[in-house]
Amino acid sequence: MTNATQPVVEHAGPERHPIVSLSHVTKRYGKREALRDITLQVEHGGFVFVVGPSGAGKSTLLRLVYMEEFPSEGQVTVAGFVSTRMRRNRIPHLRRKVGLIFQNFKLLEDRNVFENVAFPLYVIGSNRNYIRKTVLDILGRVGLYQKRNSFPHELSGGEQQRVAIARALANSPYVLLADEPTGNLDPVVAREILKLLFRINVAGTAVIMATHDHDLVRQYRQRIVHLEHGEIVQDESAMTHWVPEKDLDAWREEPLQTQPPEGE
Amino acid sequence: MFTDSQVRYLFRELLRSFQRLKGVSLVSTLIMSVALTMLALFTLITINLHAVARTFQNEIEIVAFLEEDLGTASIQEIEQRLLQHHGVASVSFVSKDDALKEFTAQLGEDSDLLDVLDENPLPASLRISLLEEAQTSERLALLAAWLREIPGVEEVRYGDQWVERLERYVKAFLVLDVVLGALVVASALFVVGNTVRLTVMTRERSIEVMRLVGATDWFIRVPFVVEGALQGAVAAGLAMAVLWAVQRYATRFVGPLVFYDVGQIAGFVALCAIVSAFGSLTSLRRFLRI
Repeated sequence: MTNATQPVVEHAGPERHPIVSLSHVTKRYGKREALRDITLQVEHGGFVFVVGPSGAGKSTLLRLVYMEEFPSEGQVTVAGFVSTRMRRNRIPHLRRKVGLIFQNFKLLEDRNVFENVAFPLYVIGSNRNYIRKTVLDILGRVGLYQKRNSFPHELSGGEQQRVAIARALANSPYVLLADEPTGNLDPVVAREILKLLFRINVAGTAVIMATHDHDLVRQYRQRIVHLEHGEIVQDESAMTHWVPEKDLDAWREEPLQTQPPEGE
Repeated sequence: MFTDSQVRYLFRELLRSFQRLKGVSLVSTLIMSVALTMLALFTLITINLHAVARTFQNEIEIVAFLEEDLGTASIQEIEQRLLQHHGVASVSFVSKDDALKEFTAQLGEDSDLLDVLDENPLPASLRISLLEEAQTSERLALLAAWLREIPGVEEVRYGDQWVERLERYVKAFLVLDVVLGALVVASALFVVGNTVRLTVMTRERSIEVMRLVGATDWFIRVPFVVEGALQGAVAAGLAMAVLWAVQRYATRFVGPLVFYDVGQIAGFVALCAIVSAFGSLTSLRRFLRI
């Protein structure tokens, strides 16, 4: 494992710059304000929980980031894409740099695990060998290599969410947006999913996870942004080295459940 | 525009959608082909009617009966004047003897009746056949009036009322065709639109996911457009096959009928494919806003 020797703080250095930046963003639907004057920055390789009750505007915030919606006021910048200067035909290019996972997984029921994960790569026209190699590698990383030929309905909820995460990783995104990813899962499985997200984050991908479940995330010493009635009411910055060093090492050394066999 | 693997992927996607939507695709293709059969049938009837009208119109001629004892020179002079007239295709001279022979032949067994006559009562005549463009009732009337003024011409006859009636029929059928055509095109578009809506509904998730993972609008549209085009082409081909069978059967009762030629069939199929692809695209826009 070559990266075991790299410092944990690789992405926490002074050269950090925001991958996602919201500047005085207000989003209105008709007269109702879903978000009011939100200013928020997430660094390259950062991890943020966005916590708040349902209806607080968490999903809207994420939708603004993957530019399914555009702010009524203010500006959103994601990986160099600026909402106020965004052309419709540029949106697909943004989406290829942003991984998305949802509470209801949004898997394609008529395709097996491999095909689901390969889907984003087919869409952008990667060549077959690259797709095969990449997908099998990612499936190994999320521990689903052996389930690659299963169909979503044959999998547990946790496994389905891991397929969705694998799919979100297929394009090597700069940032992973997770909208209530544990909403349909029991606490034990939810923690597994969180652990997977941490691992992905450690490997360099920024993660923004929205959840109403404060209890689930408060135990981690991670940056938590509290959202209520469309406003940020509290922004608890991350404590440095929030994960005990030994845990991180364990995650790195821990054999991935099912590495692709040699030569496949 | 697309890479090889994207093309391969789209192709697989198309097969997959046909597999999944076997029932829906089949039914809507059938409905469409019924509508197209109707359109093609009416057009074919019109084409056949037009063909019949054409043969009749070719028989439309003006007969100018000549005065008795008109010299060959004068007859030729009149003939020349006629040939120079606009709208005249050909002029043939029928002598008194020819007219009698013809009349005898027409009477058949009753030709004995003519034996009572001492001399041939029939006048010599010029039969004038007209160019197609001159075969309207107005032009015929004008030409007839002009003929009457020519010295040596005693009387002019033509089947005026008959021509007028035929013209009215062809016109009525043409109007019917256009109206029916518009209706069929509208209903075909509606059927395609509905099929697309069904397809969109069954593929909503995959379309949503495609957009989320960064598929371009065209990449999402292409399978629908190709599917629409194929559906239109298959429906048109089916309509032609059915119509051909109907035409073969009808021939037994009403004699030889005109059918579309290869170029027309190819054109019809291509047009239906294009219209159907277009219908796919517009209804996709409506349902998906893409």
